[in-house]
Amino acid sequence: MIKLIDSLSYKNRLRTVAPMWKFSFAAALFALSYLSHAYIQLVIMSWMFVWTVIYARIPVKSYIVLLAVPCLFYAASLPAIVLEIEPAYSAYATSDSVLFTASRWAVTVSDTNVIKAVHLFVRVTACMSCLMFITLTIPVTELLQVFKKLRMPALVLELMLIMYRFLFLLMDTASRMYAAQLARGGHSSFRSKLKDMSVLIVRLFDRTMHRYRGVSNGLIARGFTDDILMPPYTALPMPLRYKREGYIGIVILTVVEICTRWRGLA
Amino acid sequence: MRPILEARDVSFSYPGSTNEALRGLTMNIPAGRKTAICGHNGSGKSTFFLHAVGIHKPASGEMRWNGVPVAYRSNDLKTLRQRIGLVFQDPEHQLILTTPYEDISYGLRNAGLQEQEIRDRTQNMLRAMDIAQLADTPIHQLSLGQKKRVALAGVMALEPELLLLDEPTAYLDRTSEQKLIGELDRIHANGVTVAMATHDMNLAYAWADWILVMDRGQCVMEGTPEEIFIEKDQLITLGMELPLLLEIWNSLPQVIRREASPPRSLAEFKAYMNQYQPAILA
Repeated sequence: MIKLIDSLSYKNRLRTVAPMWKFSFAAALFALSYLSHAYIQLVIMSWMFVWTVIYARIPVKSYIVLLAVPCLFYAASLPAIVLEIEPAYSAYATSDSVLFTASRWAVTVSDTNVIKAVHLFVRVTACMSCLMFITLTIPVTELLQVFKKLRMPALVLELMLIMYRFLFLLMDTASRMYAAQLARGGHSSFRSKLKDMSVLIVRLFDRTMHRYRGVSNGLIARGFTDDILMPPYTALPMPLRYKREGYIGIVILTVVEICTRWRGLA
Repeated sequence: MRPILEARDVSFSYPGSTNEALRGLTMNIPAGRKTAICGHNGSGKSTFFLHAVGIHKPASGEMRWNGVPVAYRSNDLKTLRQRIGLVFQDPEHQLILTTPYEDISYGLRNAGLQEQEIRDRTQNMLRAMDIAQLADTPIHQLSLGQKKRVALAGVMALEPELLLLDEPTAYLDRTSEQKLIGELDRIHANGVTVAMATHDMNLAYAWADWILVMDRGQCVMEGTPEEIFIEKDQLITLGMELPLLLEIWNSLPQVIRREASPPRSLAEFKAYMNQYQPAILA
């Protein structure tokens, strides 16, 4: 999954578009989808879909999968939002539809809760699609530069950088060790799977510590002083066409949202 | 022959280890040459390299750079590490930033150069190392050979006077190896002293013009390849073998070898043998 995101972010068609602009664009839409009504959120969702899938040429299939995975968290919390448990006598008194009763308790679904869940879903996916636009069209390298420009503390940036570099190393090591275990007849039953997995984790830790020594020597040999100096932000050209669509779209959405609110008040 | 880097009676052991990694090592790396440091695993080659850039400090004895004892104040170390470039065996240990372009510029930025110069030198390096087309690929997508070239480029961008390489050809396929060796020859031709640690005797014989043999933390032999490889018995007791080409040469009858000096490469060998072609045919 990380590898998929990583390779997509390096290969997408919007790679050459100014990262700062893409970032601010998505951030603005993210803020807007937090504050706006459901139909505006739906518009944002589909607009982001157009940007990510059509302009950036991210394959629809991977886009949907990547969007669906975080939605699992939403799905996990769905019962808590929709279902209510109340005493059976009060459940029949109200208009809630009762799913089932167990002794004196009833599990009910109310319309307001369902509407709330739908609203939440739309908001979650709208925000997610903005984030997805950032993760899929801005490579981590450029994202770090954007964060640097936004004055994120150097320590946080270094941690992010190191995590990003070593996540792949860790994954490589882990998959190689896993392959070695498979080749030697490990992971054959559920029991041995658990056992082999625990061995793998322990050995992985051990290897990581070893690797840490090598890397810290490498850092010193290359003149590391106190912090990792990152390359400065390099501005990329911004096609006028995208710029225009972005600005006009945001203005229209904001105006529509304000009008709706204003009418709601009047 | 002026030594560019010397170890004088250096002893060192790793914390928690009872064996000494270096046992009174006295060794010179001559300036302006292509030196191969040979020895099997655990003979102290890597430890010596870590001493060279001041990552390890000798427990006794001293390291000398251009005849001057190495100082361990942080500013002195910083300049020392700009003059001595060390390429690790595992490129993952020294590739720090995420793309070749960024990583090559890393050392330059540490050296405190201006952004404009950093950009120019990085671009030149990318072109010179023939990795310009990889400049913006994430490092974890590169092959081992490419990673090694990026690591080498990152070190060479600082224009060191001495380049140290720890097992540069380990795990490389023949093509990548030859490419790397070609690169090292080019670097050497530009006036950089190059020294590599290796246990590939074929490579040492074909490439180096000065050979140091290490065993259990000491330097036991030094000399030109001709001088070293004449001592066949000593090499074998040290657990090393003669280069294949030299073995073949030695097994040829004296009539064919005559007084010629042994060939250093397959091409030389073929050229020499070709002169017999008409005689055999006739």
